[in-house]
Amino acid sequence: MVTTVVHCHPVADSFARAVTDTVIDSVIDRGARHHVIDLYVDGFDPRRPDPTVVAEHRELLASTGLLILVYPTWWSAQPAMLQGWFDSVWARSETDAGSFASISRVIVCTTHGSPKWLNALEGESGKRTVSRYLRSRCAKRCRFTWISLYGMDGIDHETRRAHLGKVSRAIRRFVGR
Amino acid sequence: MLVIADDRDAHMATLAEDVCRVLTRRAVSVECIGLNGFEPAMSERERRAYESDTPICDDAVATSADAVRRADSLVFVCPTLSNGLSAPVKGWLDRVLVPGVAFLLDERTGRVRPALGHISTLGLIAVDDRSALRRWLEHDNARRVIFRALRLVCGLKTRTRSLRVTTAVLDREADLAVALQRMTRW
Repeated sequence: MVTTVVHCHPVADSFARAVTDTVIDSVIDRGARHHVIDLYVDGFDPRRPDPTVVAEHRELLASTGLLILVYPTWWSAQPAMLQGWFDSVWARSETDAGSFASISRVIVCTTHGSPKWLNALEGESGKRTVSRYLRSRCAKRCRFTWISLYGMDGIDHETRRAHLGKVSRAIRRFVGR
Repeated sequence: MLVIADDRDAHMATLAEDVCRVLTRRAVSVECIGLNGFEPAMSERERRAYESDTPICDDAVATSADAVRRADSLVFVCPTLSNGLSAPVKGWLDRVLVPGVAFLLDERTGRVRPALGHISTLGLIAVDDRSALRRWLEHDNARRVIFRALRLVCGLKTRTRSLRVTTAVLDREADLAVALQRMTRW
């Protein structure tokens, strides 16, 4: 099973980067084949993406078994860069129905500046986009795992480190199954 | 009234023009921001400046932020491509509605205080071809972001208004005119 990790954060030394590094280390430890798509480093254009890049990413997803998305939640949803990736790579068309049927699990590792109760009030649209829209484009019984760190603005270093441990344990549990 | 429109293609540009024309009939003034040339992705520099005293470091973003401060209503016009706001509109929210524009961070308590109390109406005009069943199954996340997340930093009396049009309606001028007439009650 191929694991594809999609990372989306503009800052190279961000906490999201630390989460992605933890994810990749855990995948490598389990000896699974993996690909990494770093949307910022790759220079993905969310407005008018290069059709060749979109085709490459679709081809990659068509052979992916486990998809892991790492991003910060801004305004209750994915950053515009990742939204642009969804809009182009995941958008429905008449010819690509069921093209990601090999994806049997989607894991989201995200962070929120605000606490959990506020996100619930906002409707958690980012969570719903993945659990309801993306999952409907994957395998019929595709599972969804949500690993989230709420209230990023007010937490200490220890809590962040504990979260990385949680991410590592979750990824090791699912990779290579 | 400020209209923020994803006008990347000819259809959406026409829709944005029509929306502005209809709104001009009832509003005192309508300002339209087309996002065709707007970079949606927040840059590294902007992300690093986000929590500083000067989170805006781009002229286009500063222009939009000034327009938001002047506006009494915000109307978003965008296509629904993957169950949410389109990337340019989401990018506009990410980059323009930063601390000092949409909300204020209380340094003492760390709490967020709304700063869009002057906005009386939030509107969303979405081009959405999904069936009612699919919308129900997938949830309408464009509405959730605007009417719940953004609504929380507006005033208690801010109204929400939405209009859904399909691409079939966009293709027929007469049908579009009828659909947009509903906005005169906004």
